[in-house]
Amino acid sequence: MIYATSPTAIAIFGFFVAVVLALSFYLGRKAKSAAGYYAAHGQINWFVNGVAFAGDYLSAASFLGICGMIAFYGYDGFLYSIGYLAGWVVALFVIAEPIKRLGRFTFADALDAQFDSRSIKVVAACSTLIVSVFYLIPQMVGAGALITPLLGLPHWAGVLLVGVTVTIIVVTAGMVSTTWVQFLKGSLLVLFCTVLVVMILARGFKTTPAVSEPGMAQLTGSAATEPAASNSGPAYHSLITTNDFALLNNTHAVKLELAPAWAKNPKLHWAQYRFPDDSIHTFLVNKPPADAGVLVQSILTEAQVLTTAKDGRKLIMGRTQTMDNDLQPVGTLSKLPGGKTETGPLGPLSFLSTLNDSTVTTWSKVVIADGAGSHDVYYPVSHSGSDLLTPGASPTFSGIRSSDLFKKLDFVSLMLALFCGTASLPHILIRYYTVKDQASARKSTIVGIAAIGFFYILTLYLGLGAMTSMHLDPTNNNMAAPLLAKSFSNTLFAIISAIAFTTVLGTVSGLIMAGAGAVAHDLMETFFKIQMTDHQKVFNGKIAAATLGAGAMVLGILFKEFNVSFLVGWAFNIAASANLPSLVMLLFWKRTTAKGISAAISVGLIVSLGWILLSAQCYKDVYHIDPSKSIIPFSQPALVSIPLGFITLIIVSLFTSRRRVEPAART
Amino acid sequence: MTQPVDPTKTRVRHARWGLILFAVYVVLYAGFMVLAAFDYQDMKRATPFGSVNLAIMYGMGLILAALVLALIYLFLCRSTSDQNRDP
Repeated sequence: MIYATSPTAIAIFGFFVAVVLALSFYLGRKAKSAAGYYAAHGQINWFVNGVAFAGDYLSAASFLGICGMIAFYGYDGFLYSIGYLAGWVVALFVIAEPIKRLGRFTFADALDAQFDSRSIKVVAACSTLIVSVFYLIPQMVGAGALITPLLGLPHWAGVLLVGVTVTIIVVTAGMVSTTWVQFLKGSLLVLFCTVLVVMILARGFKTTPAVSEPGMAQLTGSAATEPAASNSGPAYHSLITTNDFALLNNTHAVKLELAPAWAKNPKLHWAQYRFPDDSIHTFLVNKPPADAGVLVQSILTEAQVLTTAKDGRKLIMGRTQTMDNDLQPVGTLSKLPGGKTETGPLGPLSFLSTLNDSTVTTWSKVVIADGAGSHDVYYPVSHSGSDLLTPGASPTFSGIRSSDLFKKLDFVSLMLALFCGTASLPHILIRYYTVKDQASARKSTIVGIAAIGFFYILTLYLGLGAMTSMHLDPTNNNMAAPLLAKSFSNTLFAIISAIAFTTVLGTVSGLIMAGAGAVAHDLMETFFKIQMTDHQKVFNGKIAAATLGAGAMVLGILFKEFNVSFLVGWAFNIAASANLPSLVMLLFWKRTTAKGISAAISVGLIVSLGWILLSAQCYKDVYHIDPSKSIIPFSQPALVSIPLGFITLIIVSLFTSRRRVEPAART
Repeated sequence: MTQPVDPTKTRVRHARWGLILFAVYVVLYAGFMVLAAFDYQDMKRATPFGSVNLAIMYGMGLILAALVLALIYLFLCRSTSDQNRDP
């Protein structure tokens, strides 16, 4: 969809970016030493650090991706919320205190604390870099997705804007400014999402009938381009729902012949009519059951078609896409329990139970290519609320409802990756070095869990609110949360978008810090044994940060089309497979050796990455080849690669002699 | 409280509490995964508390359980941690 830019949005957005940059320059003057640059001198207050955990962790994937997924498919997005939060239990109970005790700047430090092994340093640094890059891509994609509607700039401009701002933040003041940006963003995000949820509950539900009257007024062509009634973006008006007789008897509508490509999917029957204003209306034909008799009419429900013509032009309903001739926003509730049309304010539980007993219209997409070009056809599907509030309604988790064991295992594998991944994410682990002791590490994790858990409960309401807000963009599920805010007011939309943008800034700066630490501290200083002064360490970290920022921008532009939550799932898989076995075994198995650790990280990294690159999902979304050709039984590697990491570590450790430097404080 | 606490003992005790609470959560989380993967129909039908289905209740329960266990851990560690400053 094409979005109008709003001066208020630009002003609020500019203000946010200015505050963040000013803060960085101010704090930058204080962070001259390596300990200051990489770990904020270990002097961050535990509460601030806890909220910064939330700011670091609640990335674009959590905010934009999960809300979008819930808005489009219901419960399945919430599965990510549950998994992401559960991961913090591993962080708190298993990892937090030892990692604080053993390390200095990076997680490679902690792994290598008892050995003086160059191989551990190099594989841990590689793993940090790869995980950070996989995590960076979706953040950058999210940035682009936000900027388009907010500032009216193309996707790449959004990516560049984030990339440049973040690089400035990280290069000026390292971990100090990163922490404060994350603290600000974490607080604002939780605060404004709470406001939004209160507004959703106060608004309650309202129905939009799925079946409009035969729609003859619209058939004459005048009403099809009816101007928007609301001042907060284009208002929803129902698309035509009619029957074959009404169309056949109407002299204004001319039935068009469809190319054979439209008949490829036997479950979807299409019909197209040209209207007097030259617009082409595409209908999904719901044929009556065969035994219903010849006189029963088919119901025709209008679909929305975005055509990319052979010459590259974008057409909506056969005419050039403009602000006035664009896809209609979607997301409606067609039936409430008890035949009501409006509920009024609802409580948190009655909101869910009302939706459970309602009927909701969501939109699916199918791509059809014929002589005129490639058509993205969006068509309405009616769901019972109870179906949308149960796992398995989305394509990602549809395996839950199939009888194929491998498809069920794909789900189990992803949930395992989310559970084990959090405590293995380098940008989360480095935050344990910014507090002064183990008690602070513990307390800040608990503050983090409270803030993050509360936010994830909010995501369910935000997503379901967006699903029925009549403001969804059928082409872009990453925009669900900001557009939900738009359904209330343009100012709220501007604030939420600006917060979402700082969300991206906060997470990306954390990731770049982790990557820069891996390059400058682990690789250059410890692996290549380059002698550096304190000043040079900081300088090299800044160069590494700038390089990573540039790389992230390129990848953010290349991966434009992906759901950000889905990409983050991959990062969790890789992090959990590469890092978790070593972290856990180092802490709990005394016979762990340096070679065992390096082997486990390498195997986890290679197997999980290889598995993802060969998976059906990647065949379909990245290479665009037939997914059935993939030799991998399910797409998410964690279920195989995490145990493989543990086995590798145990076997290699048993076969290699113990050569560890026993520190005095070791138990 | 006035006696100095051996930091190693404290560390071992914290680790043990952590692992016990971790095990409790693993059981809860695994129960959720198995139920969702192999019995999603029951998650849709069952309404254990009021009119909200089991899928939503269990999901929110997992989020709340993480916080409750974290607070229990904080409480258990409180008695020893103040005397255990890192070197």
